[in-house]
Amino acid sequence: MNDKIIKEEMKFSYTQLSAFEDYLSLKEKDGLRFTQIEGGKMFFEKATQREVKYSAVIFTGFSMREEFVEACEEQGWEFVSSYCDELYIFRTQMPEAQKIITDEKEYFKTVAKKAFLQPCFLKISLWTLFLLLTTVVFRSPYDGIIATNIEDCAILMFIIFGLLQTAARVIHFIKWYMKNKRQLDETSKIIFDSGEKAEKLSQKWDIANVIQLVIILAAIVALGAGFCDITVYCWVCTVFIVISLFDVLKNLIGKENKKKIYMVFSVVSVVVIACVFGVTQWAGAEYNKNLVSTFNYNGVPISASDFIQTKSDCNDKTLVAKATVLGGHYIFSSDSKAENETCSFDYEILVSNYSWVTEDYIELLHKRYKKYGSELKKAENTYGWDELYYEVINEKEMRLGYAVKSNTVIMLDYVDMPEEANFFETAYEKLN
Amino acid sequence: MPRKALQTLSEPMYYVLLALTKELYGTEIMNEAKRISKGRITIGPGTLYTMLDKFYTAGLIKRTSSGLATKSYIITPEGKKALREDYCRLRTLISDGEEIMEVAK
Repeated sequence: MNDKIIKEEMKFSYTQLSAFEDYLSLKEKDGLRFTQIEGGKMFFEKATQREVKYSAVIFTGFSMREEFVEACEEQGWEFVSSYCDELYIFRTQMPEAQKIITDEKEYFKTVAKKAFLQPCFLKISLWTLFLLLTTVVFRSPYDGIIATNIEDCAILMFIIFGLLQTAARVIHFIKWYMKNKRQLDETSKIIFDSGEKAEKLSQKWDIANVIQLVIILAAIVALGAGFCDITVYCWVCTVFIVISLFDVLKNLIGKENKKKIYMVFSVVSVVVIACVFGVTQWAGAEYNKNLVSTFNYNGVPISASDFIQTKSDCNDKTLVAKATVLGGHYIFSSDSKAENETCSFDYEILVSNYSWVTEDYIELLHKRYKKYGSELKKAENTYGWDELYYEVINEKEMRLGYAVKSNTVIMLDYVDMPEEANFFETAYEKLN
Repeated sequence: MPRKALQTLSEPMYYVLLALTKELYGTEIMNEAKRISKGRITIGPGTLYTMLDKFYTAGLIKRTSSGLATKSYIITPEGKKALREDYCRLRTLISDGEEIMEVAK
């Protein structure tokens, strides 16, 4: 890269066109001549300092593009660059050069249309990409609500954030549009944003954007690394929402009340964050409660913590656990000898304090069985469980499906002897 | 561009259509509109070509030398009709206003 070429992020919207023009003039005054816009970047080259007037014009008559540029050049404007075949940038050293746009009332319709589409299109594309990423890349292979709970939270978080961000832009646009609608009849001149603050466009880092970026990266890393702690997502979600609300607010309030409202908002934000802290602490307690919540089978407790304990005691047993504030979801394998034959017991256990969670899970199990061409049939003898279901593959072959007690569901897969009344004792013994 | 959107012409639009009753190219149109309005109306190239694009799409004007680098334009019969309609509208406005203004004197 030539050291005489300077690249800058293009960070202005079409509602800031006059600030953008002033910004380019200021740059030229500082010895940086604007050369082109490409790939969302502005390019400047080092040159002699001079006073130059810039004009950034939105022109949508694509078929007349060349004639338009020629006509501008005939009026003393030098064509510099165009962006997306709609924004044309000219400069001139003649202070008396004919203005490119003379009917601002008509021009406003074009600017408004493009200004509305510019941020929305960008935002919608960005959030669609995020949703695809979170859905495709990070989604758990499990189908159930519990297994995907964290991922769903993350997706929801992105949706909320995206919606709020887009809402902020739209509110800002509507405010700008209404202001112009009101004043255009009197002044016949479009009021662009920050017309007097071209320097604002030169600020490379916007603190809110940096924080957002860090949070998004942290969330993605957390998702990728599988830190399935809902507390983390509650926090991330809250900070996202607070920042987004800040954006909305920024676009809603007038200059005169800014300080006072920002102060109130800061206090409210602190309170909200404190509340979330409290809620997440409570959620953490719930999480632990679920982890140790016990279920009684024939007076003997079976709990999630029992399973975890089993894992540490027996190396040949494998346990995969996914726990959230809503419940614990465990996959447990164990080898056992019955009648001198080694058989493998696979258990999938869901423990939750919430009946809707277990109901959802049961519904999911039914769907899962149906998907693989078999069905679940309610057993007549439930062996002490609230409900006991068998998987029916054909009329002769039956396997044990799942058993339900209170808010605990135990999936008992690939056990060929459902008739054995003592099966659950065996299972329990293995688990313990 | 639907014709409906151009049913009421803005002041610059009116003068551009007036100018295009004879064949002209870009800069000539701007100069002619200024001459007809006795210097009152100035049309910049951005405004002019946005307008020409709308007129062209609505069939109010046509290109007359599409092969040449500099293209010129002329009003079409439909354009003349639109111009006349707007002319009549303005005449009605003036005559309606005249009665009131005479009384108000």
